[in-house]
Amino acid sequence: MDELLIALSGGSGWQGLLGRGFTQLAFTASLLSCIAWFISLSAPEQEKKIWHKTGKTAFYVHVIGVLGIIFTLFLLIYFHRYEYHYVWSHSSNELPVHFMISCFWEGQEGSFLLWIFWHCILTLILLRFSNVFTPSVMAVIASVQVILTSMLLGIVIQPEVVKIFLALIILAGWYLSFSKTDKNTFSPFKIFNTILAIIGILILLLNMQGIAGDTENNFRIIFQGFFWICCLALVLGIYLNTTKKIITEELSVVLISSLLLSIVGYLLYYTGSDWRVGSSPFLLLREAMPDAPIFSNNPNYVPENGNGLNPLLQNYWMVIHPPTLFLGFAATLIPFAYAVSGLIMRDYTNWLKPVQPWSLFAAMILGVGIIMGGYWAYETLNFGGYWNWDPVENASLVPWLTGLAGLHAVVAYRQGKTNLRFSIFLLIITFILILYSTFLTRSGVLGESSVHSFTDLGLSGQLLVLLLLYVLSVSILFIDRWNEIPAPVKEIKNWSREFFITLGILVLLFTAVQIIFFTSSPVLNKLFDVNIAPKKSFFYFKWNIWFGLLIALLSALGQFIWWNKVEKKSLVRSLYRPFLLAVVSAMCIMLLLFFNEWKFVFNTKFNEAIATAKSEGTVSYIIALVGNAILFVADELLLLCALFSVFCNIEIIIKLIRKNNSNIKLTGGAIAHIGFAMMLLGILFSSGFDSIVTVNFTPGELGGQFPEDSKNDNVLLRKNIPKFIKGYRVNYKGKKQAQLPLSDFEIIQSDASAMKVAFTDSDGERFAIILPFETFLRSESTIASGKFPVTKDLDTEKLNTYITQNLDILKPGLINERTLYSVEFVSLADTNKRFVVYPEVELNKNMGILSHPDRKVFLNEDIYVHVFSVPDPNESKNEMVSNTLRLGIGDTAVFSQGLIILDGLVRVTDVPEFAQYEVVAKAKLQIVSKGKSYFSEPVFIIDQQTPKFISTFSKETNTGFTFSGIDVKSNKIILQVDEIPEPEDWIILQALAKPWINFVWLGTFFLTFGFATALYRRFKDNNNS
Amino acid sequence: MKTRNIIGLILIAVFTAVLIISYSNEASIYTDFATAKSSGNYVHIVGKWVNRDQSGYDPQTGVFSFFVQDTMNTIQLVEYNDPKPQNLENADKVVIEGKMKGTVFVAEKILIKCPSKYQNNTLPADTTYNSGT
Repeated sequence: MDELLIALSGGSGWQGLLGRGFTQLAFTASLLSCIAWFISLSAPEQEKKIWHKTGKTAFYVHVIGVLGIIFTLFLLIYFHRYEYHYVWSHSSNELPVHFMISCFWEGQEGSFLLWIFWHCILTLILLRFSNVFTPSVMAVIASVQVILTSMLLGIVIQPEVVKIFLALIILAGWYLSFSKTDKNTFSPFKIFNTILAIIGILILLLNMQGIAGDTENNFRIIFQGFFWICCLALVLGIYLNTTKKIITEELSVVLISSLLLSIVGYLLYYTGSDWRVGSSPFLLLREAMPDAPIFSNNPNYVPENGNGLNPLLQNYWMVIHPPTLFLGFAATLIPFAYAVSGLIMRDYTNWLKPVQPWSLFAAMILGVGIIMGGYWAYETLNFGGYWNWDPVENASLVPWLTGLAGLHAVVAYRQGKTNLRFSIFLLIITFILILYSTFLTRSGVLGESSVHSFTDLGLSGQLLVLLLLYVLSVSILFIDRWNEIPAPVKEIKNWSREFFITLGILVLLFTAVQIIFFTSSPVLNKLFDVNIAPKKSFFYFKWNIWFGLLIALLSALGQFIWWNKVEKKSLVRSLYRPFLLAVVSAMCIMLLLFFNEWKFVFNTKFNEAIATAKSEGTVSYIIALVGNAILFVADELLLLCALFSVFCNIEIIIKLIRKNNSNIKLTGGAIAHIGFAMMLLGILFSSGFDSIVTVNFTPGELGGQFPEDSKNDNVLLRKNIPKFIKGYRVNYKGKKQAQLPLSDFEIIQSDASAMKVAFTDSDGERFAIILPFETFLRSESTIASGKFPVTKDLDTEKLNTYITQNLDILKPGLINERTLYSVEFVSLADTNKRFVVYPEVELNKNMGILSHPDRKVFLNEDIYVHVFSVPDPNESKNEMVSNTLRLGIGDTAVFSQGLIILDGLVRVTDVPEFAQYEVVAKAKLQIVSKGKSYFSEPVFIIDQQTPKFISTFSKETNTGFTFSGIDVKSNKIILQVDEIPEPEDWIILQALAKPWINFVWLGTFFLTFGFATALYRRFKDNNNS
Repeated sequence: MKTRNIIGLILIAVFTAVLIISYSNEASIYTDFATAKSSGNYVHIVGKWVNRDQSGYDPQTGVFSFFVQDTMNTIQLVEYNDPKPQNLENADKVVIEGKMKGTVFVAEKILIKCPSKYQNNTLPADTTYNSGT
């Protein structure tokens, strides 16, 4: 089979052609499908069926195309075809198959592919349960697929063609604004458009002749101009439309023309040279890097090995996190498509029932995906936590929040006929935010502010067009239909359940607004030409603690009133029990904290801020005190509200099960709310009370530049020299060695003379060692000339015996240049509480030192440990260090590894070989090192007035001793000690304690379980009706 | 208009105002060493790691000192209270956050921007080995 596949994939670049063929097929088919579904909307009744059939078939062809792209790309990666740029950039010979899948999401093209793939799968499921909305929903979905597959096309258009095309768009926009509207009505947009068209054409002409001067700056100004005009047009349009001053059709035509012009403005800004549509994963290396010098010498050059997968992605969680997150992203498309179809079809209510399970599904999967990412970061990255308020993380959190709000709005509408406009808006904005987050992470705009964004592939223009296209077209549609959407039949009464759910939606929305606003600072910087730096975690924490407590409070009250239908008067009476429980338990926790010396949240941060403020004057000191006091109160309130939410929802569950004969289906919401409150508790504890365990108690170690109150958070640990840190004695015990017995021998690399063999030790770690072939290959196995041995040629038994016997000398290292450092912690309070952690350091050829944390999980806290720094292996010194000592008999001297004692001095007379010399003396040395004694006897000879020496070498301590003379005056021997120092072995360690972090994971579990329960219920409901 | 709506509108207005004020007020800005020196504020500086052979980490004091050249081409000694960050060598740009303390810029945070996330898009310069088809 392998041979067949190799034969199939052999030859020249036809696989690339196949892949590109599939891409074009997928693109064209989605375009056809989109057009067919859109036409079917306005087609006469008898023609509808044929258009539906066309749309459906075209979509199936699109799915086949997408699967074809994925299959082709996977084969290229599997067979290491490094002549392809994508394969070369993201994979390598050493990569195991399960990580080959991860290659798909290391690169932008691959992750677009993943996204498209999930859209296909979800749409196929949707088609299976088709209903009246299918045509319009499919039209919207297919339009998204057209744009997404265009990201993979990789077509280059010449600048001249681009310019002519742009000029045509400008003229079309201008023509549209005049021809389709009433010629006599005065519209400010017409004048705008005329001016814009003239400027646009002028710039194009100037640019064509290359006399525009500082073109980039001009384009920037024009782009900003177009952007603002477009915004203005929208605002004016909304105003005029709501006051019904002009007819909507005219408005939409004018708005569309403004949109076209603003897109042109944007393209003008970014069109320097060629206009590239998409980026193909099937680009050959020489096409991607035509300027590389190697291709001028050898156009057929193919690298032997790829660049390899980012080691950070070579992790179990990275195989499942991106697909989950992308599934969550993809799932938001369906509610969006339903909401837009509702607007297109002018049916504003019937789509809400089928949309509910989809919306639940999207919120559940997206939530799980986000937390998985956090867990991955916690486990493998070293920024010390699961959430860093990094723009990329925020960009995925915000659509989740709006999605949740949308979900609640749909529920509110289906029960109380309120919040319809809100539902439509929120479901639409969720998908738009997904697009926006794609733009943020892939356009390179985040550049300096995010650790893990993609770099620009030249797709930023296309992404922005995509974003603006959907924002503007859907806004126009929404504004147009605004007055048709039925308003609530009755007013929402104060303190009613609709009132609370609306409040909850608003809080979620404001949370989202605030996070995305702060996260967008790189975009705002570009738009307003300012340079405001991105916000820090603590800033976000200060803001969101308030939103967190509001959400917790509303998730308690809202749910309670939802199920109990309580009136305003009896509200207080029925809530007293959970409230009392919450107050009591909050009090208990605070007392516990007080006695556990945890002080209060952000203690160190507060102290720092207060100390700085104190030096600045009384006023700022008071402000800092008040500010911190407020924050302290907020923390305690969050604690109280989260507990209140837990108890309220538990009470609801108990009541529901009693009332409905243990009908668990209904409890989904309450379970999810408990999960959310638990997550809040976990977040509050683990990030508010986290503390540094490795506090450096010896301030003398700190450099002079640092103020006294600035503590060093890391400790330096030399091998086997324990140090005392907060609550623990910590000892670095050396690098982790392979533990016997060994198993699973495998050749992972071989060349003409040697092979690299990997094996697993008893702890399940993979080690690797380089060995020559001799004696380790089976005698009967014959290796064909020009081929290198593979695993089946190994004589495993012989190899195992050899490595097992020589383990101490061979010292095999972990695979992939990894090293585990074994660090032992012994609790000072309870010496039985001791544990060993293995933080990992990887010396990666591309990324330098990579540190991966390890942690010890206790029920109430995690001890989170990572190595910050290790000695540079390239700088280890191997020079001999010489020392001259003078010792009398019985004297003791210190050397770097212990003590030297001169036990005695003996004149040698009985050795025949020495008889010819005048003086032969032997020094009897005792060397004490690491709790053991060794003896050594260097000899001093005087031969015809000339001194001679017979030196000794102590293997155990790597030290040479030379008896080089006798100091007659003081009656001491002169001893030269030559040491070959062991390579320095130290680590710099940081350990953090993260209390109650398990609540975050437990809360996630409850949240997901709650969602799943609700999803099951809705699914059943939809099927029964 | 109902009282409830008015309260809502006022709340939204206050929220927006607080949002914008805290966005620009507490914001630290990207700047250069000259401004950092004159203002003494906490700033972000975009620059390049220069004079690499003169930088080093002292495990005894826990200080990593190095030189950064900002966009105005000023070269400044920077001290960092932690070991050398990972993959600083590959960075074509660094963003340092901190304050000037006397003649030294004390960085609290270093952000590293690699040329293209991980990939070092270089091919060998000559073709001594040819495995091409």
